[in-house]
Amino acid sequence: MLLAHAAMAQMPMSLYYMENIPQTATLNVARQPRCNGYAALPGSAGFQLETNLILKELLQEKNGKWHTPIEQEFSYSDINKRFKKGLRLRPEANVTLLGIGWRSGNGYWTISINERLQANIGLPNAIFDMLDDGLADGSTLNFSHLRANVKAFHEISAGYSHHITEQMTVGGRLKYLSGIGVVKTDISKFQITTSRDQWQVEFDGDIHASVPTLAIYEKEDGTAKLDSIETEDLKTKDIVNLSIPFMHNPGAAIDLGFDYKINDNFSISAAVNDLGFIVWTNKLNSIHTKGSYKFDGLKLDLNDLKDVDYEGAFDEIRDSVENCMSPKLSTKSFTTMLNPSIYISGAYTPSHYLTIGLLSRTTILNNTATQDFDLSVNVNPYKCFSLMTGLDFNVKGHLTANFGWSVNMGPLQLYMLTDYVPITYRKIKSDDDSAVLPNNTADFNLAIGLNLIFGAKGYHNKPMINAYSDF
Amino acid sequence: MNTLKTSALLASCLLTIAGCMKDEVTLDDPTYNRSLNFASPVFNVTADYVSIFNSLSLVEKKSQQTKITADENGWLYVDYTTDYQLKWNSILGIGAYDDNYSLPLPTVAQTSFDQELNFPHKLNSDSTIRIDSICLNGATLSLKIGALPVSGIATITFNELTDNGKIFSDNWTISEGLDKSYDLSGYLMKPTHSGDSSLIICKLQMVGTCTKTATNDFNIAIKMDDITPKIAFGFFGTREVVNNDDDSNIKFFTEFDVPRSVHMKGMHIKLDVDNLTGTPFDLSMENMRLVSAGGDTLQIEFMDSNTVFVDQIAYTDYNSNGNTPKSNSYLLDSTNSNVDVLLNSSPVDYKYNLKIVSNPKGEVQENFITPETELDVTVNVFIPFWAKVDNLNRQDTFEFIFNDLILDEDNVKYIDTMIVAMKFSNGLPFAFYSQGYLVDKNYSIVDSLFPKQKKLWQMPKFDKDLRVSERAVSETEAIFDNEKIKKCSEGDVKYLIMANTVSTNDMPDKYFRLYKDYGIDMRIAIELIGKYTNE
Repeated sequence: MLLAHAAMAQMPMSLYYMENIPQTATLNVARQPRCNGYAALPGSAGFQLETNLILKELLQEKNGKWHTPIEQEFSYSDINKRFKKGLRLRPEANVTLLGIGWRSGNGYWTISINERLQANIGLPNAIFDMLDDGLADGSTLNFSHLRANVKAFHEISAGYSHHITEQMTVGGRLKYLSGIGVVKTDISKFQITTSRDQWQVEFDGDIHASVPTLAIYEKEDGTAKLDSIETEDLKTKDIVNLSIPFMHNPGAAIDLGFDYKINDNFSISAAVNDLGFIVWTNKLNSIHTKGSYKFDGLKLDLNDLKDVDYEGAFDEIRDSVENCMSPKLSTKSFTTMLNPSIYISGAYTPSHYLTIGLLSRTTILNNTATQDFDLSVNVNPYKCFSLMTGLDFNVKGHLTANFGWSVNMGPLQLYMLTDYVPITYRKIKSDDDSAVLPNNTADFNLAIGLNLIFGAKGYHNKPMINAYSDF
Repeated sequence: MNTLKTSALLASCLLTIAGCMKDEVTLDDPTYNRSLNFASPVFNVTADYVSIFNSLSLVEKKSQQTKITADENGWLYVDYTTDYQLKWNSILGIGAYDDNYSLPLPTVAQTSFDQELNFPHKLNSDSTIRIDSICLNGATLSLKIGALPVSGIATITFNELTDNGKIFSDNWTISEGLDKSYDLSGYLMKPTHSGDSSLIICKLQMVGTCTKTATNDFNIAIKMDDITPKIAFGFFGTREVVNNDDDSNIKFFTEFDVPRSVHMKGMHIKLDVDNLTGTPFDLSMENMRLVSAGGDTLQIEFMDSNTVFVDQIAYTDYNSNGNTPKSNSYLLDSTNSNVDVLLNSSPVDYKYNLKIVSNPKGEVQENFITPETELDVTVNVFIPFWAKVDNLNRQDTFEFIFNDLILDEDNVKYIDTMIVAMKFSNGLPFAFYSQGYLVDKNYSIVDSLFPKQKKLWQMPKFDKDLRVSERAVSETEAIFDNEKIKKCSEGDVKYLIMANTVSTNDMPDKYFRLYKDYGIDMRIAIELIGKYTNE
């Protein structure tokens, strides 16, 4: 089969019922594409950003006037109340280097090689509190929810689904993972208290990194030299090692799923994806820091006032901070988990060219979960054309639309899918300009791809086109 | 076809809903305008009473050490300390050894020549000095001996110079003469005593045959340089080794506006002597004068002996007891002089001669000296006082560099208010009032730190013995509004004049003492309140 490029993050939920797009199997390995074989082609791209920032919150009305975040009248405390811990940003990307699939009897095989990126970045409310109040007398700024967990890895997967009975199809996918690089923070306490009398910094946390170009040096006492963190140039050998999977940082994951046809019109299905981990063993730099530093002014003796070395004093403060924090360096291996997701679906298929489905997706990340619901209508009116549209419900009540289509031109298939299409928006006018800002949209995703489709007519009993239909 | 219609209808419904759910917002040209609040401690100053007096420049530091101290009873002293040190070369009286001779030595051709000449040198510089031996750490002997028309050998010998028991000797061809230097390091020099002289004798012997008649005198030059002893023994004589004039300024009295503010308790002078040499000494303060502000000189009269004797250490104790010195001291006070009375004249200067005499008792005995041993003399002039301060006023002027020290010039526009917060924990037995005047280059007042003079340090609490039992904590703020900040930043203010007042009027007993645990802590913090804007 052909090598191809396709780019996908966590795929849009709207893909779930689009059986004429082979990548539907990425959401539920048990669901078999209609075509008998496929290969992904270059020229595709995909990205997902999940956040808890709702765009309409970027404008606030006070006393009949609207204000933006750069103005003092804009209160970050209003947003912080909803954020609870802070602003969350979760970008993901997935580039497929190789993606092939073929039918074999009652089974369907899929093989793919992917380059993936998962990130989870948290900016604590304290950052926005600072914008409200500065570093005022009596402030306590809690940065404990600051996090930056970013990992990139190779993924090689082999999946298989099988019709056990006429009603039941089950599937599984095994994935071998090989880590490219990671930065992972685990902060249990990071708090800064400011006042006229005292500044206090308390920190307790770990920062783990496996970054090929990162070099952190160690002092004689085993603590890290924080002022000498450097990045090194990559050597050819490193680039080769990084480019080839299997070399370092091994990991594994599994996808499982089933699809049960209750009768000709109703079916239920479920899947759990990305149940796995990576053990990071290469180019390790972990820093553990726990300590507290108090600053109550430059300590001076009146006798020495004329000879005060202020620059030296600030160096001493920096040294004191380092000593109090005593950042300990280690090269011990560590493990990161993938972000598993669970799909549960119920579908109504009145005819082979129309499916109405309700899909639930739960994504688990660091002991928290996000929940989305998707109601979609999938129409396959022609062999050459499919259309999907519907509504997404965020568990917090945000309503957005989803939209997707695919076009077949001979064996070449072009598709585009997106969730979270805003259905309400706000027109913003200033002196010279105007712009439109979506209201309730918090998230964004997009998948665009090109496939070569073989045997596009699909199942003999579930063809892509019904010659006997009324259109 | 129906399905196609259905999906088209669904899509158009969604778009219709979206079109309906639209509102419109008008923004009034938003510009960045966010809080710039900042509060932080800056300085945490600890000060004891000594540092406070010294920072006020009440005493002027000269070559000698000057400090304010207190004894265990809380009496305060201005203590002028002068150290003297007597090294071996001031104590050991060695005369210069640089002898030159010119002799007519007759020679007749073809006759034998046999001469023995002695050139004695008196090593002691004074007849009262007797030098028994010097173990040389270093010395250079230079000999220049002229040539004679004699075929034969000359030999020179110093019986008083030995190296491991071997007498110093050298020889040369008489007809060639000699011009040579010798390193005498490690030699023992043991002079021959003759009457009151300690002699080193250069013995010259020449034997040979004359080749012709000499036409010039025979010249000989003997010189010994850089004599450094490892140790020297002898009697180093009764003599005045030092008479040192000292002249010291007493700025304290004029600064403290004596006697209006401060009441003197009684002046005394203490002379401490540590002798690590093998020589006894007498030390005395002579001809002590106090000079008043008007230039009058007041002579101190001694009613008793003003001499202190310090014995020598025994050679057997040298290096065996960790070089423990022989010590003595002398106190000059109202019991043996009129120094106390004269102090009431508020002197600004004092002068005295320090006289040091070796072997003062005149008894001939064995002294010794090494380069490492010395006589250490410390003269402490103590000026104790009762501190009773009736609103002592003092002004100090400082150059006021606002932009570099406090706020960057570019940031001034963003600050609405700057608060300099001061917190004091006062354990000193007086209250302190202060006002800071911001003045221009002509010393005209532009603004002030406080609306009026503020009591910064409150009086602490006292126990029944009038010792500070609990520090007084007080806080105050100097508030700079944007207008005052601009004055400071834009160069209107050149100097800061601090007008301070110290008072003990709140004290139960107005006379205070200062104990070593007295002090004050000062914390200075800064708070900025403002907005950063790009307007």
